[in-house]
Amino acid sequence: MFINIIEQSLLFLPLCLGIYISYVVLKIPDLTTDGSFVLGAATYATLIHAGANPYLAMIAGTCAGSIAGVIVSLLQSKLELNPLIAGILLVFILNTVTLKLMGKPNLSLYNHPSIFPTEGSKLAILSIVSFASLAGIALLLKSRLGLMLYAFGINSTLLYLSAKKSHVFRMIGLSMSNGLVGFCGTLTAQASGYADIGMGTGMILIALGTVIIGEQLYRYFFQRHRFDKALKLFFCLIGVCIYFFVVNSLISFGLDPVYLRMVMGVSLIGFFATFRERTV
Amino acid sequence: MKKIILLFAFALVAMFYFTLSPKARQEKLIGVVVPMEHQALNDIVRGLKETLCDKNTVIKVMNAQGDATIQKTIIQQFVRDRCDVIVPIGTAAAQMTLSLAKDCEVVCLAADIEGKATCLKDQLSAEEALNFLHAAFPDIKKITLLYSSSEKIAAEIPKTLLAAKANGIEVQKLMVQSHSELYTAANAIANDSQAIFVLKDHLIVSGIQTVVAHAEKLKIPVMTSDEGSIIGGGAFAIGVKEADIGRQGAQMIQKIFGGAKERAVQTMQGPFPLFVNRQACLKQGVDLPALEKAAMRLGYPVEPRGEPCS
Repeated sequence: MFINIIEQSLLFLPLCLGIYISYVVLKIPDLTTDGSFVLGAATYATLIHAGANPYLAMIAGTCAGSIAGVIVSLLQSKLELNPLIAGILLVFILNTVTLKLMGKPNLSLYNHPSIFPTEGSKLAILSIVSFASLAGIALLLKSRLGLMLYAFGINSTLLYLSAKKSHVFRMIGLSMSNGLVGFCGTLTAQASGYADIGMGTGMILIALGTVIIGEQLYRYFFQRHRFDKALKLFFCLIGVCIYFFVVNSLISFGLDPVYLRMVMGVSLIGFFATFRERTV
Repeated sequence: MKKIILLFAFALVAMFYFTLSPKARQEKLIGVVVPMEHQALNDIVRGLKETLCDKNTVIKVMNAQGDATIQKTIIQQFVRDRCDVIVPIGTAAAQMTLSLAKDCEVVCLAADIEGKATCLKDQLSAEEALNFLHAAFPDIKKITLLYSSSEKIAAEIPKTLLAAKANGIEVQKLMVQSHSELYTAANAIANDSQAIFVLKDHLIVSGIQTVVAHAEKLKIPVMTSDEGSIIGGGAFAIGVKEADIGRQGAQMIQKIFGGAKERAVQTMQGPFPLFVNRQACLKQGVDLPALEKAAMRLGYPVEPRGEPCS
């Protein structure tokens, strides 16, 4: 069970990092996630069925997610659409795009090549891939570009007044965020053995929940730290682990999944109540 | 200090929890993965339970409530419980189970799976339904095919069009992507259409009343492909009794318990019944005697559904 939880958490981590960039760093509520997750999975599955190499298909899936991010940022900056509306519109469009891309609503990847050669190697490969993306994002957020992305989130007007093109940073941030989500889609398609038009529904809520758990925990344990950017990302992973630990525990105790969401909601409220006194 | 105690307590609980292992047991354990809440799926589970009801078999049913993450956790829980057989219902659940439970016996029900797997397909060919429609009502020359973009259906559409062409029937295709589009699509049914045909399509079936209301206005029959939609107001359907899928699946499981090693895709065995809602037939202007005569001639046992005629 421990291995299952770690495996599920590592699989989910790139999605959380993507949400972290859009929600915490850029401070944009980006709903495109539900669409770019499926787009990544659909691009991967379509290319695998066309006989492509799994690694190339994963890169393509990630790029497809990034392109969705670029489009949503253009909708927000050029048409000055509200981020929520822009996200919803793009999810609508992506629904048709993914359906046309796959040709049918469900593509099986059972007995097709993947980056997991054996069942035993899954955890090792997932660890390498997820920690590499975590380290990459941590380094990036520590760099000058990361500083600009934070600046965009805190005060984009100031960025504009400092003669920086704020829409460029929005585009970079959202393309990174959706690229990571698309990447997570390709990993999930391989681990689940299929790509399905409905597989992204509700993903953003779980990811947001886990990011918030991570943030709250970080604030409880460390007020300030030298490596705060990297640590905050690491706490995202802890947040995901806690989420999957609770889900797995409730199911193994025989709780009917009908009550699962209610119990999860109530425990999240309890969680916030416990850690609230140290939050800023 | 408080933080350290908190962390230590959490680690202790986690360690205790992870060391729990499944108890040794005498009886056979079957884990059923139900992807969402749906009457048809519940009927399949009922059929499975009825056939496998002996004291040496324990059937554990878990419903994922339409959430892929929960579905995955359920499957992994069944693997940890060392289930003797895992039974996913539906294509997506079957695909996920096959890739997560490689060391377990898996019997997929109502699923369309490629490759080597023990699987029971429930989809009847549209050819059979349209041949029947043509035999019962040879005057029908144009029908409206109402379908969704959901799994399984996409592959059935070309076959349905071919079968219609073979029977000399013109087809108006109307696709919907969500429930909200169903009303608009029903309004778009051509005035010269003589019947509405619906495949075993969850989205359309769950909104069958919308379709039925339009059919009653146009006085044309709604022919569907499952039992539930006839209870819901469709006129007639050649279909599978959902509980029979469970029963036939249970027989496949019994064969596996008996030592069978062969992995094969099976389709439901006939004869299939003709479900008829007589009340709906009257409202939709269906010639009931002609329908029942055709059913008798072609060997389909008639199964009345819905409210009896007053």
